[in-house]
Amino acid sequence: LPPPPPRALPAPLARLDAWLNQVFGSRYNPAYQTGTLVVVLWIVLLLTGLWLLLYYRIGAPWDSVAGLTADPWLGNWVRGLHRYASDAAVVATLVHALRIFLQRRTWGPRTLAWISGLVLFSLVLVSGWTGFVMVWDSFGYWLAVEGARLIDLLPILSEPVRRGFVGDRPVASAFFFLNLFLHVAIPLGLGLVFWLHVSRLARPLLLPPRALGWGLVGALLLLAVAVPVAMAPEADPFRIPAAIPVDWFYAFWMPITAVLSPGASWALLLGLGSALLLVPRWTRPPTASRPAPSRVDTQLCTGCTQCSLDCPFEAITMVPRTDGRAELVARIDAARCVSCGICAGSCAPMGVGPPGRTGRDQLGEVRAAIAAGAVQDRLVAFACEHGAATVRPALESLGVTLIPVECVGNLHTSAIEFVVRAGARCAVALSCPPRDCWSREGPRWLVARIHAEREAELQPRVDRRRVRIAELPAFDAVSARALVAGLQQELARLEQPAAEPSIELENECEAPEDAEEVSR
Amino acid sequence: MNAPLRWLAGATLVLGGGLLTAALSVMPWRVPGAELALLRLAWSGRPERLELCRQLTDAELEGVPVHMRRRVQCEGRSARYGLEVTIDDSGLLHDTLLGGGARNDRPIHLLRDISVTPGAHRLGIIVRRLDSLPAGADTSAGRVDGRDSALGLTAGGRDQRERQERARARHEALPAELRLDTLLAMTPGEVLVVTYDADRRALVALRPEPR
Repeated sequence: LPPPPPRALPAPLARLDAWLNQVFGSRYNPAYQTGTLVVVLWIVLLLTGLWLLLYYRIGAPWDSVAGLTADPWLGNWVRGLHRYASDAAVVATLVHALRIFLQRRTWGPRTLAWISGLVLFSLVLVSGWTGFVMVWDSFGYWLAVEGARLIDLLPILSEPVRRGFVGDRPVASAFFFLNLFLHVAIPLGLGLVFWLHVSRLARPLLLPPRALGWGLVGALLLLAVAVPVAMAPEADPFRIPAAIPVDWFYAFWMPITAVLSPGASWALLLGLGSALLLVPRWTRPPTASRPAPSRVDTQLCTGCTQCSLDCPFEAITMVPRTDGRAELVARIDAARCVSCGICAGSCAPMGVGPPGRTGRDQLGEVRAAIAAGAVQDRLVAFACEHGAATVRPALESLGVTLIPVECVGNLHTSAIEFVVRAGARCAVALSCPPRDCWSREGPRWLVARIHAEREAELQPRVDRRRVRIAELPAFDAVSARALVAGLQQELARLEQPAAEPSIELENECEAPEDAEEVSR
Repeated sequence: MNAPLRWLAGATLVLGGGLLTAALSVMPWRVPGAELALLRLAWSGRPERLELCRQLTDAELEGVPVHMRRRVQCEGRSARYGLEVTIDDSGLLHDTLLGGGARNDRPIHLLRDISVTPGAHRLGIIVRRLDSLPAGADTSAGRVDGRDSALGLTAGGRDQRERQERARARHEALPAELRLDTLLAMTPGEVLVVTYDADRRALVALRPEPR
């Protein structure tokens, strides 16, 4: 079989994540929050941009910005905040895209998010381009000329756009007006594309934890005050400056296009753009190794709606039944299902989930582990395959029995109950940090199912002293060892676990006689 | 990692990230070619229209709908121009300039950058019309008389507008020859713009205004 898609970030990056978790705590780890941080930066840019707009004059672009910059009390740092926030937005966007790419969350139902993300990033770059041109300093002039050089290759205008910047006549006010219009309109338009970007997510997280968001704004503000933005010389079409102060976040391409012909620049741009647009196609695993979408066993489905409530991708809808029973029945939209298996964890009668990963399948795995003598008086860890399962050798060397699951949200509480009643010293669910969950909401729902009686809740009869949930990022063997040591210390205070002789959890959920009617 | 160490690591990261952002935000880029001077030829001008005109007979005009009647019918094309640029008497550029658009009947827009070593130079530019009409060709704009009025050719001052339009186009067209011959002292990074002054009907060299 072809290799399956990677289950975790490459080890060096995962270790960097783990280190950042130690520094900031997983809740405030900025690497997990790149998407929401961009939203914060976007808000900062809109607010500071609105203020800057009040002082900008189309008729005197450089002079008006120079006037603002010379004001040490407000103008300079508001402009600095605007500038640094825009730079940080590029960094956050790139890190966000890189993580998504490395995690292979780019294909299938996530294609729309990837493509719209590319559009968003392109719009951010174009918006930045217009912003720097607005200042009309040596950098803005160079950007305008480079942009015009590329546009001139297109058979649109008879007169080259670049003619407008050569100095034989003043640059048309209409150019600055159009530029200003685009600089205002594009960021507002970003909101629409952003809506598309998250449109396939249920309950999208739009903002980071408050402390992180304000911390970022505060840090940028301090930076704007400590390292004030300076004015470059005014644009001069009659002089090539020896050096231009370049914002590399937005003009990283300039040294390349400066030595390429416009045709070669376009070819490079189109080639790179096409390659990025085709990422969903070439990162999609072959059919044989592609995880199958969830299925509904319509005989078992009670129409409780819990799976459709829990699905992080809105892939489940409830529809009227056609078999004469009164309830609704769940229906999976395979085009939206990422096969995270969270629905399997939400279904008390174990009637939904990806093939091989339903609650009943999990009970089968637990039963096999019991038969192998790997449960009684042992620490049993249900480990997320994207996270804790990557340190399997470290855990097993400490005597832990590891049962991998696609996501802790996929874990059915009956599997935990089974393990505890079978005499395990403790059943621990090792989740990824909630903000880095591949399935978005796995840890959240697991906590609710164990502690807040969310369907399918962990039954009251289960000894809660022997149930734990712990965060363990991928490749973090150090934390894994510390975690197990701490757990063993705690468990030493408990009495020896007792194993129940016969546990038949499946029988508590009526199995159908005719289970053939399976619908997608 | 204990709390002070975490704070230290966190503060170092934030500080380092901030300073890196600030540095990359204004890091200078050495512009290629800044050690040279630049000669920039930038102008727009309408090419002369070369056309042969013929006066339609009354019978021909009567066969045309009133609103489409024109006494003078001209056919032709826009002229091509040759461009020669010399620096210190050595040829630097030799090109043919065509009007814009699919039929080359739109203005010629020229934009060429030529790198030049700084110092004193003698610059020569010649723009010369390459095409001309056969000798004795009728290029007249036609006449207007009482008969034209009867045929509807003068309605709404159309004949007059057409004459004015032809005169304007002739005036706006590039002259048959343009020359610039000048001595230059160019400094590194300086851009000398040579453009066409339509009012003076001549090529002019523009230099930055002293500040």
